[in-house]
Amino acid sequence: MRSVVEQRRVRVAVILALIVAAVVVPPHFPPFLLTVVMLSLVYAILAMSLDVLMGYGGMESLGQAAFFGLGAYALGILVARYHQAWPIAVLVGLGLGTAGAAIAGLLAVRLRGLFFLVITLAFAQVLWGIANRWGQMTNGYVGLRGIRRPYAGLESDDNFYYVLLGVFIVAAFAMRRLVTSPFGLGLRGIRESESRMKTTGYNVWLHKYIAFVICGAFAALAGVAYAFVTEFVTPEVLSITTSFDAMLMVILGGVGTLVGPALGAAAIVGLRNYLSSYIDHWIMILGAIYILTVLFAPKGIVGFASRWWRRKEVPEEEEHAAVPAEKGDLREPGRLEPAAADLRAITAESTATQGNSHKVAALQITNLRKAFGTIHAVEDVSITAEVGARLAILGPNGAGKTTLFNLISGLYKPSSGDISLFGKRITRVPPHARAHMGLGRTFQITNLYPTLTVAENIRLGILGTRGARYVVHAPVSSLTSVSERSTELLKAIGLWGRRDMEVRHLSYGHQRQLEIVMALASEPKVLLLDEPAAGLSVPETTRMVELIRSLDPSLTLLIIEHDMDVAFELATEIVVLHNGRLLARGTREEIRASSTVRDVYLGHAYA
Amino acid sequence: MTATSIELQQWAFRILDGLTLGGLLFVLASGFTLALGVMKIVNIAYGAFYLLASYIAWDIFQRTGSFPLAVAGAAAVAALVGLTVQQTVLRRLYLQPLPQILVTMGVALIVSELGVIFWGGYPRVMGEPSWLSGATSVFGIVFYPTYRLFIVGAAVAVGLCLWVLLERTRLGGLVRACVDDEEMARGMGVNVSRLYAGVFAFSSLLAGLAGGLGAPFLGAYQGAEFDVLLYALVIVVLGGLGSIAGAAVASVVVGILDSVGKSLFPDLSYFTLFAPMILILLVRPSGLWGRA
Repeated sequence: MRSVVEQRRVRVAVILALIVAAVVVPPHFPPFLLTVVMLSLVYAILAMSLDVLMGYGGMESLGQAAFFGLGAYALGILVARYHQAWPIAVLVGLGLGTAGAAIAGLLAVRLRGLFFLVITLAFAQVLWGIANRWGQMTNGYVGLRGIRRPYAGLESDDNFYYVLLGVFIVAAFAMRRLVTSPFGLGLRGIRESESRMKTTGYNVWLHKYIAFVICGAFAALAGVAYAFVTEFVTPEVLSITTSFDAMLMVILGGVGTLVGPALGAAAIVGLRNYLSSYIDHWIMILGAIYILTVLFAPKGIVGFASRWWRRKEVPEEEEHAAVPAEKGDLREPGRLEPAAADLRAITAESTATQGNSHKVAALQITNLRKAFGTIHAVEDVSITAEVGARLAILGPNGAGKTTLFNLISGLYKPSSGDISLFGKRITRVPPHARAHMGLGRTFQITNLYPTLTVAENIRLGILGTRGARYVVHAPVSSLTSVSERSTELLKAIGLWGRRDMEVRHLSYGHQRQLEIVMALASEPKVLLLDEPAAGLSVPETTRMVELIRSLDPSLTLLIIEHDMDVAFELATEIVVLHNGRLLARGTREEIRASSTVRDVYLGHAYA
Repeated sequence: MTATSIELQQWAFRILDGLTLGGLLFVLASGFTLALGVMKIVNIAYGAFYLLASYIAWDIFQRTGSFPLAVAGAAAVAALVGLTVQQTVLRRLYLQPLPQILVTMGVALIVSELGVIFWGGYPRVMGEPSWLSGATSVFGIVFYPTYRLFIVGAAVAVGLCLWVLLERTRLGGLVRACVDDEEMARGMGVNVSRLYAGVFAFSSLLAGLAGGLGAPFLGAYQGAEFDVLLYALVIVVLGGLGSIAGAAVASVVVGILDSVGKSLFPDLSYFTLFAPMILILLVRPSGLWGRA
């Protein structure tokens, strides 16, 4: 198994070799090939910008051409019509493209799936329409000629190529930094689970919006470069086919990597320029590439390559699987390790700071109602939890327990009633802000980031309530305090040996455990646990109970449980919900003795 | 003739133009929204099916002079092409929106390039049948081309047929069941994959029907595949995904906005088409008739 350092060294060496090759070789190319290389670099920037958006952020945009075209036209018009100096033209081009993304983002980012596709497409199409009709400015469908490059020396492609190569390297490096940064990790988290991200402290809309605007800016950069390369702009740059081609480049190369889209761009640009000069109906071949890529290479060139690579390295992978054993902390898959002492140690600091808040209730719910149409899921529920309380919420299926948690964590808006956290009213506070105020939660149906590694899952939990989640210029791994805390948590739950494993490959038991530790990672003061033992075997449940009991005593816990025995184990106080209403509240003994509770659970006859 | 009556006539023309376009757009969009509502497929090739049908209608009309034959032939070919695409490609990409979109983009490119290969790059405008040529008086205000009025009538007829088919037949019941809860429909023994093949072919047939009816009105030209697709997208977004009634209202709205917009603000026609859509999406993100 290669060490991380060694891998990084190999990667740096490969990149340097590529840069050297890119500097030395192309000037010896024939002019046509050099043009193709230059266009490939331009489209590579465009395709990479789209991939940051869709491959990392999960936002599949059909309108990336909009910002590309805005950059190209702004530059073209300023240079060709108004004879402005290039720095002004470039800045306006970048600015206009970015501003376009800022406007389109306001409309698009809150939408999802098909609506997102359609509105981004529509936005680009409006601009396409303008470019076609606003003849005085854009010269209509004929296109705008005479976009001269600055400085006589750059008129030759041989020299301009180096400028372009420099721009490409800087852009590629910047995008690489972006996707490895805490901000980029956040984007991937959002792609995997928006609800988890919200309750972990991320303003999901803002995060996506920032990404949308940044990607728009990179597309505009590609557009500016395009206008200088071709010295000619037509409405084609804004058209639906440009947006689609960018997407094809991403998929052909490999979604969710940055190398892939660059390769895809080179492949499509190369094929287009060479085939179209030999074949009359090259469009049909492009159509076939669309279909064949989707059907037979959905993971793209990079997917193929990495599968081949992995096949070669099988023995090393086996070794990798055995690594935890060497380190002495291999846990049986599916077994839960309470590691009680460790967990208490790592949660203690979170509650040490709130010494003076003992007078107010940690969580107060007053007359809370939630109706879905005519169904009253939660009906006039009032609950108070003092600091350090261990409150179990019991109730049969459909009692409104999870709805109650969704109301407290802010995923649902209540129909009426109030929720306060440490005396502050949070009824209208968005979920991420509630997380910042000290509220954490877990989910009944495991809600992790499945294709991210265990360590990345934990880091997302840690970053959620820290300002560093918006850092775009430094890799996550460079934040030492986050790394230390993550190491601490991973070791405490015995997942250190599996830190680089994708969470979806973890055993169910480990996933349930990770649910809780991720919530603890953001150092909550009030923690909502939604059926922590759901689906666990009897011994696993026992260990889970031990784990929860080991949590810091000043942490306020609300636990939804189906299983009365588990609830009685964990809680000092119990509330029972039935059909959305509060049926009973009391100590273990009181609830055990209550005949109404027995009726709900066991039916009248039994009682 | 007074100034006001000229103005009245101008407005009558704008509204009638809008209704004609709206009618054609309804025939077009109803098939698009059907595929979307039932199968969750955004068929980017839909406009290309329309264009292919227009070329074929033109061709048949050139050869035989028979308008019904031209329209029927166009619709049949479109349905057949649609069925082929569904059976060979789309059925493997069940419920995968982005792959479906990309694949249908590929189909769109191939089908429209076929149009260029067989019929050249020139616009082909089909003649009107003799029994629908000339103009007809509308409420004594204006004389309006008979063929365009026929389109409006045909759209109403298509709308009624769809309504009866979907709301009053067993087959329509199965389709609606699939829209509501496909899994449940499957569980109740509905042969969903056969139903899907049928729905997609029917959706393509409507694209073809629109292509045939539109051949004398919009004509067949290079680039029509995306123009038409955009109209269909806007209508479906406005009307709500999968809603036929929504598509009807949105078609009329878009048709009238487009014709009034083009005659009053010729330079802003894309705004008059897309601005209302963006506004409505801001207020109702799932369209006018869409489910939240």
